[in-house]
Amino acid sequence: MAIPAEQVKALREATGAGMMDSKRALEATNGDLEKAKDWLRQKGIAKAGAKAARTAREGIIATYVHHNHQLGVLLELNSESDFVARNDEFRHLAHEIAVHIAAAEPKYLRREDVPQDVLDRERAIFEGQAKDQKKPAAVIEKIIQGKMNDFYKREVLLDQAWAKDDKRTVDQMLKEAIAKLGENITISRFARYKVGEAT
Amino acid sequence: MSVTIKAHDVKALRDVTGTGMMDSKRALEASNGDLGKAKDCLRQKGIAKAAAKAARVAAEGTVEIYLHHNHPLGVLVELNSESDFVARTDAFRQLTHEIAVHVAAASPRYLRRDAVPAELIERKRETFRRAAVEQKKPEAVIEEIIDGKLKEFYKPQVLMDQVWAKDDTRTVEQVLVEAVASFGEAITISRFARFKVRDDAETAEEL
Repeated sequence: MAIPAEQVKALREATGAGMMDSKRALEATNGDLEKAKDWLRQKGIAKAGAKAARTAREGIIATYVHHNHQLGVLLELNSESDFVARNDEFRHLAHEIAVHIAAAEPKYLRREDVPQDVLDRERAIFEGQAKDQKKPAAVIEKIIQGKMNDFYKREVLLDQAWAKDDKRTVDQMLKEAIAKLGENITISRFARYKVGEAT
Repeated sequence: MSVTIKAHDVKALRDVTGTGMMDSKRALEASNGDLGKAKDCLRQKGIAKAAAKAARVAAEGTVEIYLHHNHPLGVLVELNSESDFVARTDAFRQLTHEIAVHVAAASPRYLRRDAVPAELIERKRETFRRAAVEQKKPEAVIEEIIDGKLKEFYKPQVLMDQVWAKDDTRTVEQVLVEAVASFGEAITISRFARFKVRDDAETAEEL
């Protein structure tokens, strides 16, 4: 069934869950807001979302360097407490994210980090491609949206498919870690250097 | 429209996009010789690969990390040489490692003076000028005083101006100059990152 956008928004605000999760929850419960909340809580998603609003200021720095020293990654992973930051599972997670960054070459952490001129430029290219195909405007807009999503999936860390298991995005994998470790966990920044690629 | 397309522009476009000569030439003609536009034009036509991954790597070198015990602090550094041969030597690796350790200890904010934001320099100049005027320094020496103070300001902030952590008789810049002499080719630090937990760069803005 079609879920109105304002209902998804209300559920997101109430639970802190992501858009796709909220939409799925409403679909699964026939659009019933209360039932959707329970559905999210059952799946452990609402809990993670509510925690995600809290600030994570403790944490660790993780590094990865390729054996030939041609590639290196630096990453800050944050938790709320020093206790979790010292946890082996948390440290392992930080290491795995650093390895993911080495392999998946993200350029930005979040969608908001992509500069407007880069977005405009990508859009212009996709528009040019779509126009050549002589399709109705509505279809063209959909095609462009799809291409922009592909762009995010390629360049934005949180949107990338998790290198170890491509059924989840990095963002979803973090949400699961939040539910498991019981506090908010965020990636605050990363750097990926490959020799000769400095701009 | 007909513009004369220069051979070196065609070559530059080919290097960046990996496309053939005729495609590159046509793209440049269609975009009036503008390299950036020609690149987009090739991508639009699906000729160039989507990501600019094809960008050719000019510099050789090595990246090194430093991670503090218990991981509250980490550094990533890229040191470049001209040849792969030099980059592979132990001495070059050792130098890269020492620079990473230096960055960890000395916490520079900028690589070179030209990376310091212009408005910050302007603000500093203004402050130094006001102080000099208040102290009734002669007009003729005020500029000199400002330059001197600015140098003092750079010293702790700019990596190349910092005193080498291992031996305080030299600056990092001097260490690099000596490296150029001993390796026999250009040696440059192209970039560094220093992450400390609870210390994001954005909030550490200098006054």
